Amino acid sequence: MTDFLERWATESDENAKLVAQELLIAEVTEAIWEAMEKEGISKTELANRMGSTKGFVSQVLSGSRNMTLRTLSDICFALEKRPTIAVKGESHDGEWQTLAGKVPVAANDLLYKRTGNVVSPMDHWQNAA
Amino acid sequence: MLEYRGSRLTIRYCEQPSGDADPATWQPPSWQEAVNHVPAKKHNAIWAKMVARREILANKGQLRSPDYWNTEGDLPDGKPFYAIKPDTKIRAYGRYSKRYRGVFYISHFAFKKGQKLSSKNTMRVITNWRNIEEQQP
Repeated sequence: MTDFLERWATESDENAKLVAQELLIAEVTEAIWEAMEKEGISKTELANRMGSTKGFVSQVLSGSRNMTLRTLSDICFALEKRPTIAVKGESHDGEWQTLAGKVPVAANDLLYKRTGNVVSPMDHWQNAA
Repeated sequence: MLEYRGSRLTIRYCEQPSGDADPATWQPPSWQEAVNHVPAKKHNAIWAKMVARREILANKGQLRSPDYWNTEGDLPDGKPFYAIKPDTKIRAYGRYSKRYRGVFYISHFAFKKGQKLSSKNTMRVITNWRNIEEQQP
């Protein structure tokens, strides 16, 4: 039997969206903490490396201040790590998806050719953009 | 039994619906009580945060951020119990089971009134621990 939290999460799109937001925030935060623990780095040390304050780092890691992608990059740079980002569909789980039937092969008088998963203009390159 | 299964842990609740309760609508009384202490406009955020914390705990086996998770006190066997923090004031007190491998029990939820862990919450965690870990097979 699933729990009451799972039930709430699937009760509405609004709830599911909120959960998706909180999951992403928590996963990023946990990954940063894991890296900090492995390197034996405190929040103070991280702040020093970033040229920032401990207060700022605390706010970002606690979620009381929104973490921008730039801040995430700065944190990873300070930890000498590189973040990896993947946007996956739940059903496809990162598999390549075919574009067949999804992209028009001719549009605005431009001809396109499809090679595998890539669609590229055949002529009029200067107009293609 | 009301529980949530992740890839590493099963999260099981010490509070379970009674025989006449509808499991499709039931939620732990301590959760309802704790959330009701917080302004209604914050309820959805607290629910979503608790779902996220619970999912990561179940799939990773632990939480690392001190903003999400604290080692809160000791059990009679010397092992610690923990607090999951979906909000600054709401706690889910729980522990890893020695008896049931791969199970994390949530003893109960509470609204934290002061800074320190209250003896009432400690006693409730320990009572639930005794009921499960020390009961006869």
